[in-house]
Amino acid sequence: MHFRYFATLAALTASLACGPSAVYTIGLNPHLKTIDVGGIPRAALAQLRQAGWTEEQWQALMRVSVQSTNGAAPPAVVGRYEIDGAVLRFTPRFPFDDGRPYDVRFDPSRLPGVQSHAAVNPLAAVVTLPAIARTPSTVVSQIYPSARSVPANQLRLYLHFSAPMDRRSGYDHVKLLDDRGREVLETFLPLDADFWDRDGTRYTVFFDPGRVKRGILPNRQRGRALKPGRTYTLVVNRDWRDGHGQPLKQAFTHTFTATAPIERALSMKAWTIDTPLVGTRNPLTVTFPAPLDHGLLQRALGVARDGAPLDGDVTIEPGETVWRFAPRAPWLAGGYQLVALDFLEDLAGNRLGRAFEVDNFERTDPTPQPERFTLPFHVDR
Amino acid sequence: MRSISLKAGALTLGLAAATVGVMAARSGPVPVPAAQAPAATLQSIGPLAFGPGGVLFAADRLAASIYAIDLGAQATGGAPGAKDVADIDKQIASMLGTEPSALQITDLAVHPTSKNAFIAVMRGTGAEAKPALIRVDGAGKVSVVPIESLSMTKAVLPNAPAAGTGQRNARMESVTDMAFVDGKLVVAGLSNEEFASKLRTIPYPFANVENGTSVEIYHGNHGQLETRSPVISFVPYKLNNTPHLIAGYTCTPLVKFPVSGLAPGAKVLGTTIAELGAGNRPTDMIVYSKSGKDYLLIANTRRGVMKVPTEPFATATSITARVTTETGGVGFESIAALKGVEQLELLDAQRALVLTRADGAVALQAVALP
Repeated sequence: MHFRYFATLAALTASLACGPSAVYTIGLNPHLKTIDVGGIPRAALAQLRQAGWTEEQWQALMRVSVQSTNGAAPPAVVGRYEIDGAVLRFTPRFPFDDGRPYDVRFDPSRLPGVQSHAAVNPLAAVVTLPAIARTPSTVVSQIYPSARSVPANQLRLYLHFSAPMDRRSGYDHVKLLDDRGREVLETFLPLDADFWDRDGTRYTVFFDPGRVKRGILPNRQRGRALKPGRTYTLVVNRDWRDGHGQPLKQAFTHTFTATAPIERALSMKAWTIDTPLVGTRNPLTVTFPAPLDHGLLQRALGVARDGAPLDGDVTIEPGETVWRFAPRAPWLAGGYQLVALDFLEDLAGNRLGRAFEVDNFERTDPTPQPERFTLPFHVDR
Repeated sequence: MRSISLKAGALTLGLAAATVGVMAARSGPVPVPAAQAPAATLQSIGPLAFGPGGVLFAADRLAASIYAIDLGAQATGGAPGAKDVADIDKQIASMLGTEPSALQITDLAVHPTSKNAFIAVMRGTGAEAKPALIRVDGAGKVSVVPIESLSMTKAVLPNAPAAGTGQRNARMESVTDMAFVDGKLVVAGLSNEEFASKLRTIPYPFANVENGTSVEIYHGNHGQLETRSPVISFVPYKLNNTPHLIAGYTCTPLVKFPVSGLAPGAKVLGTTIAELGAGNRPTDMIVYSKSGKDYLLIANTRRGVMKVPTEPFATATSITARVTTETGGVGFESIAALKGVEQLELLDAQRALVLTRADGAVALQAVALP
């Protein structure tokens, strides 16, 4: 029943030989993405079903390999062999790559109990799944911080992409240029760790903390990458590949100015709260004196009533200085708490009650860090 | 617009999960029961670490889980030991039906008894990438281990976004290194948001995952109390018969701290015993003995392989002053003969097993311990 595929796939089969007493077909099953061999005598199929062969024995009969480019035979592709109806089927352990040619070698002399085939030469075919025509379409859709000015001790930035990207490190694809167009070298942390989000659409770029932190050797030798008052352009190269192996549709640039470094702890007292009206689902609006980290703002800030967290929708305004929370259920009259978890940070890694730079020679925090900070507010009639 | 839910128990949602994790830090371990994992559920693989009885721990970043895999008969390919394989990346890629550029090698581990090499790889680099476990035996035979047919248990890391709801919480954690120490699996993690050190201890057999231990180290090269740099690589090592971890951080302090200090939610003051130079990252480290003395061998991204005698570790005083030279503390020797080492494991008493990259190709090699 699978032979109908072979007729349609004749073009995919580079060479096909026939034995003196049997017509074998080798073809790609486009639905199952398997390679099927047809024409095997019924008696041989029956024995193959019972054969209990090792992978090596199956590979001696039917061998699938990535097409060699240098003449040397590469190891066989690993997969499962089975008899399905009238065909011998090879299912690769991992799906065949689109557009990649695979060599198939079928040796009828290895068929069990079919003496008349002993003199038949092995058959060879090349099978290829159609290449999917793609054009570059993925772009950098957003960058955080989104403001055009950042502190000189900026710690990280987030690049958002319009589609899933290649999951390898993006370190080689991002560079920083100064206001004369010269590259600022060794700006970012050269870690090849996976800094992607789950979807592969957000990548975190860490500035090298060795240059950000005061007193560290790289900092003393070269200073911070960003100098207050200077303008920089972050460049995302077009050669960064997306999840389909395509380059970006276009390079991305983001120009910003470095401002004075921020080296003090965050304080909730500096935030302003604009409370909504009771009975509405209007958002609570919290305004910060300086931008906070976009990634952390989405999960480190919330609203509770009597200690119980509320359901709601969060929006972060451009510039990351305004956070809004609209509850699922209308506001009730009375007290609520704005809750901040201790890992909430500003752009320079400063946390509530604790600056990123805690110099042991000047001061240390002798008490363990509280994990949860609250700011009470009231919703009135 | 993003939606968050703060209902108790709404663990699939970002802020709620974080809240529970933080609250648990006050009250004790997060009760995440171990489960018999359904077969073939790994979404990603690496790093690897062997544990008691040859159990293979494999980190799965995408599932925020650690699997404990019973290799059974797969512990050996037949011939014990390990054999050099040139172009191992090409061989593996061919067996997986692709080309070396589509392969990500995530770790190397040596089975404690068969001494076969196990290599974790991701086949593919995009969203379609799939994990594979490769075994190389003493005859140089390369095999794909059928993970899906093996029995395994898994521990789910706390504070991780639930599978399939990642759009609500973009925080992900990479496991940078793992080791089985004193009855527990120690896991070093690195987040894509907070730049922080996170070490977790997970009792094995898996029962629950304790909340991350915050490790506070004094970083001699920084001249300040440093709590925020992630552990990249570590080895367990006994100092004065007390289990310790020797850990390497980014740019590049070497730190010792006692395993007993890794209590949930605790802050541990590690002791910086050496500075191995800035602008560098330790990728792997092993401990070995030679002529009656112990040595630490460290593979680095930019500073090659270093051999560090461990004798001074126990008594080394903490680097407390600002180190003004490139390196400081316990001395080391650079091993110039070992080039391009990307993965380093102890093979036996005389040899290390390494994956080296040269001229674009990766080789598996057994090399004499220096």
